Amino acid sequence: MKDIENKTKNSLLVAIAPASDSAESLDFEKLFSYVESEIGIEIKIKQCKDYKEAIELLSSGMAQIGWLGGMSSTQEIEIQNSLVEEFAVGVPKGKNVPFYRSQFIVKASSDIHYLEDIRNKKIALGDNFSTSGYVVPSKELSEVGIDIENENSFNSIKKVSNHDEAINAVINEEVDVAPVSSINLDLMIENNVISQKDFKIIHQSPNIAGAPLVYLTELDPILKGEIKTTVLDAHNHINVSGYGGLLDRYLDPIDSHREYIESHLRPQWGWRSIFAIIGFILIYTLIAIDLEIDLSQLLKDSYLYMKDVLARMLPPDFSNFKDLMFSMLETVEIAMMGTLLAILLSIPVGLFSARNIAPNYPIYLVAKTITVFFRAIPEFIMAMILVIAIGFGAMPGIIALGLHTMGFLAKFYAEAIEHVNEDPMQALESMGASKWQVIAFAVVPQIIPSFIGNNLYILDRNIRMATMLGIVGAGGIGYELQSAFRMFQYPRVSAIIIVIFITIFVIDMISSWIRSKVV
Amino acid sequence: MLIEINDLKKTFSNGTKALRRVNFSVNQGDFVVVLGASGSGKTTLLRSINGLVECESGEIKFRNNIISSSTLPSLRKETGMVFQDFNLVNNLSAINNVLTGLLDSSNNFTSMLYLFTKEQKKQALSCLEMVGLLDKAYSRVDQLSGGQKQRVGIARAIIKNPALLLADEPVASLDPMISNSIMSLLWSIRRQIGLTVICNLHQVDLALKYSDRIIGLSGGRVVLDAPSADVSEEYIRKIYDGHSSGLFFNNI
Repeated sequence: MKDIENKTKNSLLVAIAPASDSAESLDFEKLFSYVESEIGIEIKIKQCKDYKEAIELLSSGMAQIGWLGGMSSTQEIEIQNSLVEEFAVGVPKGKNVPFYRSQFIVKASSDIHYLEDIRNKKIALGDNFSTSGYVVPSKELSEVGIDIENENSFNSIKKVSNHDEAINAVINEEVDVAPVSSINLDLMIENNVISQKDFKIIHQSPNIAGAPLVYLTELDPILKGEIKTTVLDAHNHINVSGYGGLLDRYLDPIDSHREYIESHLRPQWGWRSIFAIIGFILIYTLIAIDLEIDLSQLLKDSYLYMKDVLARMLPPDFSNFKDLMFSMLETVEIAMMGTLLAILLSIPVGLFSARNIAPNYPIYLVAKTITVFFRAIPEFIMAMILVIAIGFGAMPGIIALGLHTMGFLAKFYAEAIEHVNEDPMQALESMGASKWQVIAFAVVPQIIPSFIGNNLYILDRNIRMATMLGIVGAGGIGYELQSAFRMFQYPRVSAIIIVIFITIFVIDMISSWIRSKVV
Repeated sequence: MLIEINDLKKTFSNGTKALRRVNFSVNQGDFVVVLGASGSGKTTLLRSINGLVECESGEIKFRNNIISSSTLPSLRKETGMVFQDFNLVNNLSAINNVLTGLLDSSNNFTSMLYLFTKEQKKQALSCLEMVGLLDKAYSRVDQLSGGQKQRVGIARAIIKNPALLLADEPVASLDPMISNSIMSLLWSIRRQIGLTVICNLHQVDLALKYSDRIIGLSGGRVVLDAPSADVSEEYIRKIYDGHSSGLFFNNI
């Protein structure tokens, strides 16, 4: 029906929503007089007083073409999705893309610096349908917890009918802050209506897709095609203008949207990751060169020697199996005693080297130094010194293992304690529990699983290390290994290695089993 | 008829009867809210639709095919799911979380290196735009607010263009204002891409506002199945008064 009306009337009406009060920055006259001359139908333009009027003109069919501001506002109005179609988006002069932003401006002298600060201030807001004057600002504000629809969020709300009015309200100190379109702001600066020095931008939204021209969906398809082609081609014939004054050209909304989406594309791997990978490869290449690591050499010659050594080691000689088992047992016992020592020592040291538990900084520092010190000295060296000091046997081995792994365990505990969830601690404190009660009830239960897990790991590790300690005379199977090597009894060496392997394998199974039960 | 549920029954191993002979069907394009208090069986119901829970008797038909282990993969290809606790990978960016929705149709090797085609990335960005989070595409998800996380969750669910969206209490972890905006987002997305939505809720006001049809569950039974336009809060209250149930009757 409306199609027929259009034809009989033979004229079109363009409804323009308000965005500016200067005719120059919302200038569709030239564009549509060109379209008029190209398609031979009279076109009139109506500057509406608000968004609602423009939408009503379109929905009643009185207007067939419109400019309603940014599309996010039109998306809000559901009816419009089927009522109108976008057909062209203006690209501002000097820019390649039709995007703009909503910017929150305050007077240059204002003490407002962040978006959060505008709570309880005087604000100027656009029409509820205005994209950069209301819809986008509403989203930006909700991110800092300010509800734009709630009057109590602000000291006062001044409703403005366009962006220029909002900008002037800020400049004239009628309001403290206003969200406005970057297009209007740029234009007013360009035209020397206001100066860059008058105001500051405290926040700006991400890109907003450009505000499109729309026509009624039910308009005659041929006419729609003509209008669209003419508008998209207009920049080749005239100086096109629209929202934001002079424009570079009009883009098809599909192209515009594609560019909008593409403007957000970023590589999956940023330069930092690529830099890190290249750096990693570079460093290891340099190390390999420095250490003269030559894989081909290794494969060519060394394996012949390996073959020779292995041949001499086989078959393993288990002739003194009983002695072997006893010294293996001694090794496990040394490891267990050493681990116990480590656990006992690490509990106080660990507590005091946890920042959130240490009573004061000097104690924290002392505890921290102890853990670092004993971690820094390998147990092998510690055992060598202790063998000289207190003689051969199991004792130097136990102390060396205990002190060294105490450093590790204390560090593990301190970290576990530092990462403990402090909320229950606060709850207990608030009900008057003492510091040690808080530790017992709110810290210990949380770290028990990692406590057991770490102890088992240290036990496992100490058994492996204890096999070596005999080499420096600190007891256990290491001593057997050492003497077998000295006497070139390679079959005995292989027998010892097999015993060690089986022992560690069994211990590993046992500790995995315990772990699965308790951790 | 997109979904047809016949005589669905589920008893958990601890004896809880989650569903007792549940029957209903969902038309293509419907926005159905399953209303019920916690423990009414609505989560079990939703999870049984995409095979996360196996039911002991009864059948579910999707496009007239009975769902079984052999038809489940094709159903899942057409189903998106939104979770109460978002179930996002917190250390990944929003766009990478959304891209996980495309993994089933991506190259195994390149996707392991987090590489996706430009088209896929544009698709993810478009979905993020649809949920209003385009500007947060490269933010890590753990830096987003609860409402924003759920928006990412929705973008992930719709990226593969599903026919059916299952939303399990999508707003239960969110405050009333954000809840309303998330429901309104689901409502408008349904229109935009022609989706069928089955959404679990326990808030009566939201259910009345955002649904074509309300199915009320109580104790594993359907106690209400009516177009939302035909029911009122009072009516629902009356129905639930007869059952042991604690629905929320607060207005936003």
